[in-house]
Amino acid sequence: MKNRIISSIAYVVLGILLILIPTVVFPVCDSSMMKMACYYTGKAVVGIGIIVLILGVVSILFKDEKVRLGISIAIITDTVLIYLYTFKLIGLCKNETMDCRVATEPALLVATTILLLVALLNVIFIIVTNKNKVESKN
Amino acid sequence: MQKLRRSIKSVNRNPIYSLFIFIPLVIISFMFFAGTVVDQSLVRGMANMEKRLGSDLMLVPAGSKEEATSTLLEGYRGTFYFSKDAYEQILNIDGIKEVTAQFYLKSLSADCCSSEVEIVFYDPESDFIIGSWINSKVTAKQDANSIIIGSQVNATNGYIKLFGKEYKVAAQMAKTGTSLDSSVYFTFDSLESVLTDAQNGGAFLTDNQKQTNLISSVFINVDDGVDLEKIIENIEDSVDEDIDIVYPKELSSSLRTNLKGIYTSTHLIFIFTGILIFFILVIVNIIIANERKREIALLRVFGVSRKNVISILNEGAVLIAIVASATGCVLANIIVVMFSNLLARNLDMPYLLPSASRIILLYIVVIAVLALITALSSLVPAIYISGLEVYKALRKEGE
Repeated sequence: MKNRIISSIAYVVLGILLILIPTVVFPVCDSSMMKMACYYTGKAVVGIGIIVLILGVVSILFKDEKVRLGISIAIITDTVLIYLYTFKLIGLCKNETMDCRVATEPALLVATTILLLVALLNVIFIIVTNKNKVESKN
Repeated sequence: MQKLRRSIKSVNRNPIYSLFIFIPLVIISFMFFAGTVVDQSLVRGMANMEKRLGSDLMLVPAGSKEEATSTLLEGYRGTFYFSKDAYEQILNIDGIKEVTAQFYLKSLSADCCSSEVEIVFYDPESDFIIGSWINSKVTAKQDANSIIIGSQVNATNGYIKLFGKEYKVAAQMAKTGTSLDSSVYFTFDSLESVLTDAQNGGAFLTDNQKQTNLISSVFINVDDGVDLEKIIENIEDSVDEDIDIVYPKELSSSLRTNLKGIYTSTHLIFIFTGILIFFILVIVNIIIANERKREIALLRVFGVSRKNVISILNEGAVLIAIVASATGCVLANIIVVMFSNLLARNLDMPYLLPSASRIILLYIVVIAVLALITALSSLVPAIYISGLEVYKALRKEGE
């Protein structure tokens, strides 16, 4: 139960962070004159952040380890998608001095990497605990 | 391996006390790592700035001294101009070793960069400032259709687009940690065509900026041993226009003095915090050693040497120190390295991160030093407890 609560809270908190980073904490470049790549990346990351937040809430409600394993795997794919959006599929401004490169990019990188690590550890933990349960039953 | 297992067991035995050792060490290693990286980045940035300022004198139009000082310190180009005649009038003054002129266009937006760039026009024949920064191999002699770009300006297939026209990148400058990194450099041959393209592209230019016989500044290096005041007198006599004189090397020297004050303060803070942490560690280790008094006494009864007993008491603490200091270093690394551009912008000073090898060396030094300090802090209580007579150690409190 401890693991379920800790990992779920981590998902919810990191999901909220992913929503807030490109909008409030380290907003992307001003788009009033022209919508640049970082504007669209920001929108995409907010969308994924909402998904992660919802999955985190669902994870608290379900005790079944298979469901939580599935949720963690889904979150891992979400983090890969964030990396792809940020660096490949949409990207950010080319100039390193722009707001999105100076602040938004490193913040997203840190938050996404932490989310990935939490999800990976959760997957490993669930698999190992299940394995131990099966072995002890035998 | 056995030692490691024993150390882990020792840590798990008293998780609360282990936390009291872990947390201060994470904090001190974070502070030390982050502070050192920021210090070294400022030092490197300063050194680059001094190189960039590398002229004895800078001539600017009268009334532009302050703006010119900002140009030197922050790198953002001012919009001050005077006649090119001033440059020609001082060329033959005795005692002047080298002299070069520059023309600045302030922050015009460019197709290449999704943002504004600073544009500088210079004379490559007489230049002694920009050339020293060139990092990449010079692919071609710079002409009217080619450009040198700062380290943060991105070229596409060796070209950048400015006001709808493509320019071949002749070379790229090394990272300076200043706004030079987002500047582009043309020769004076390109001045007329760039200004025409800028106007056709809808950029607003002042009347001065539209003229091609003006310059923004003249940089002068004098011969060694020459009386600077005499040279200045001669310059003022020779130049028809009213001018101001800036002393770039003096500027950097006063900035360096200010920074020294900051370094001294931060180093003092590290030392005092380190001493405080040491005392906290000693107290926690005394408590831990006291808790294990009876266990140690039994080990002594069973013939374990005093040296081994001290080692057993130390191992757990050193393991915590290594893990805690590594954790602190990693957290600090994330903040100061990944957010270095944000830090540089907020500090508003030349800022250039140390090399990767220096950062790795810093990791090793911080972890080693903190492990040593922790080992020392646990040594005294360990020596005392292991030296206690067995009956005293086994006796319960109050007996």
